[in-house]
Amino acid sequence: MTVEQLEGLRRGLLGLTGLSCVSYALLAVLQNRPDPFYWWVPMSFGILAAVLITAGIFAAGRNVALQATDELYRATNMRAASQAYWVSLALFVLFSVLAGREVLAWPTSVAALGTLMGAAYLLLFVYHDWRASQ
Amino acid sequence: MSGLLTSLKDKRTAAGLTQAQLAEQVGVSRKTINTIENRVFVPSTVLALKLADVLGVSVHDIFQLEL
Repeated sequence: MTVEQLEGLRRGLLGLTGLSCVSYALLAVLQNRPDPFYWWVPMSFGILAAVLITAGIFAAGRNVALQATDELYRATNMRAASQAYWVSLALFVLFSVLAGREVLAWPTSVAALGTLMGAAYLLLFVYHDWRASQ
Repeated sequence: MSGLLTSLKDKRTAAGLTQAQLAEQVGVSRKTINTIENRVFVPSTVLALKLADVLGVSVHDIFQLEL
């Protein structure tokens, strides 16, 4: 496995996990219920991503793994985490207002907030990593 | 854009290396070399020294402050 393949695998799996979280949150909001589909589906995507990325790292070997987690990767990771922090704070405010005004039930707000916070980091990382690849 | 000018691409091609070959020799991804050459990413001091070492030039031959 090459560095580009390992990076592509990581981007694809983290992107899928992020999209599963967004899907869960959107459906929760649209249906105003905290369990629009099985709660373990986004979690399973996350665990599957972790397992497959780890397997990819072992298949690629130490040198390729180190190249795929170099200083640009760490900078991208930090950038995504920093932006996701502010997105998460905004989401807290948004869902607090929606729940406080009884637009959404509190359990729905908590479910959507939790999955969107995870999705924010994952999708921001995938976006910045993809941009750097262009 | 950073405040750092770079002639990494010129030095790399003069050394007869592709981005992938240079990346492998300094232990980073090709994407990192590409973003440095395009002035999207500013490398650390350690990476700048490694690049200079592999290309057989001084760091100042590759990177200059944009004044």
